[in-house]
Amino acid sequence: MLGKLFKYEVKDTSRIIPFFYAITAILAGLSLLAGKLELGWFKVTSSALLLLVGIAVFIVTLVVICMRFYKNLYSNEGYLSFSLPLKPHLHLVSKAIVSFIWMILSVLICLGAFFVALYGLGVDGKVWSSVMDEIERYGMGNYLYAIIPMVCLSILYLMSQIYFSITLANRPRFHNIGAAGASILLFLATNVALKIVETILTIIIPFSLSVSLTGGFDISLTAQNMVGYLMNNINNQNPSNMVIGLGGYTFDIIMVCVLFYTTGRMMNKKVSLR
Amino acid sequence: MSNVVEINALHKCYGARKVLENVSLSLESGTIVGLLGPNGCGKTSMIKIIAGIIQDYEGQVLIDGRVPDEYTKSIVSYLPEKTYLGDNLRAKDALNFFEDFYSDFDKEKAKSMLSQFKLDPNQKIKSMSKGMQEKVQLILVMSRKAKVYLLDEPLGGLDPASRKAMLDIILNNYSEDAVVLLSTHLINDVERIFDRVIMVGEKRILVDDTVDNIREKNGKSVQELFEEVFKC
Repeated sequence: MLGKLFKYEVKDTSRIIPFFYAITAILAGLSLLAGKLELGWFKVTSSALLLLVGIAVFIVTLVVICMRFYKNLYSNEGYLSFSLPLKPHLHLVSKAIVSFIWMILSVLICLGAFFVALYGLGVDGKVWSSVMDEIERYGMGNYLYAIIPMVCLSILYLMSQIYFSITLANRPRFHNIGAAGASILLFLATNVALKIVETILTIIIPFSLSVSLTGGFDISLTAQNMVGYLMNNINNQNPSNMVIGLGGYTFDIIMVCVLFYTTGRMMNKKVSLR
Repeated sequence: MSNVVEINALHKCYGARKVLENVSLSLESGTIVGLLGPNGCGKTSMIKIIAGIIQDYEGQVLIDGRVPDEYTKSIVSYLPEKTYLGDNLRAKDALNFFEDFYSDFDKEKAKSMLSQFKLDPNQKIKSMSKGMQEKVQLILVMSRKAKVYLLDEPLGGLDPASRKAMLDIILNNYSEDAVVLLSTHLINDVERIFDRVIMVGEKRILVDDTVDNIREKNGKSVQELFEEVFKC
């Protein structure tokens, strides 16, 4: 059943998002062509447009994901979705997997558009290689790979909050507010509350990365929290180590699991379509 | 004949507003049951609860001996009062969708009914009239060999000729060992197909009897009894 849900999920979301990928690809081609032909105004215009479209790809993907989740489960289509002979949380699983893949693709397209646009504006390979050399000089080259799981975590965190807010907004107690309004309000409330807790935990949990600021570049895990480091900064003392709290990331990972689980449970036990 | 649906002491409220209070009933296989009542009396809520669309209720609801779950959904064929097919689907896509998810769906039967009603399988649902959409949905629902058919206002947006055709679809296609629960306001049109009627009002069941009994005991048609029970 999951495979079938997956098939229909891909089919439905494929109607809009790839269209924006195609526009980005065309603009990237134009931008590169303008660079080759040395057409000044055209180069700048196409690169600027490419940057905007790159950002639009990400936003469109996000909107499509939200709309698909709401429409397919909590509008009229929900009457069909929730009467299918399967555990309702499978809808969440299929939508989360497909949405995650689209989001990753859109991030890559967005980054690609960004680099091509900058190339069109004169930031060529030499500039990037000197930036990379500088990063390598500080021994941070390998840490660039840490960006990949961080981006994946951010996407999952965002999706889990969106799905949770939309599902909660469709509980009977929020029916009076209206689904869209309640979803947005609940998303903002969830997001702000989680950000506050995440920030506090980042500072106070004694689980951090310690980055040596004297001489060689040395990073290690430490049982320190960020309070001492922040106090030193506030008092204008020059600390020898920079401390980056990991409590917030740990909290994010836990909350992704909690939010997905709670959403799935609400779908299984508490659905009440208006 | 066995009881396919059993409801005991069902309570349902929306916030502070109660719509069903201590409702109990059972539905036997092989019958067509009319669920009648004024607007807002809880007919749709009761159908949604049996279909598994509403889960926050009190009381016991059993379908084929099970509380609403994925098994009961596999034996319940549910037609809501709303159009639940995606705008971008074509009729043939809807048939494929049902074939994918319901093992008891008879695609050939659905195709022949589409052509019988001159519905184009390639036409998008959103470009169809309300009546055509309702026909497609009823064809999908009645092309399943289910144990329970829940039809919520299936005749609402239809002209009189189409209503007759829809009733024929229901009569000709429901399995003999199944129960059909049909809610409607258009009693005159459907009275002929009911074996039994349940009238719901004031949060409870006011009348629950066979059509034959109603006629014999009261000397009235279902329509006349309905008008008497729900007189304003």
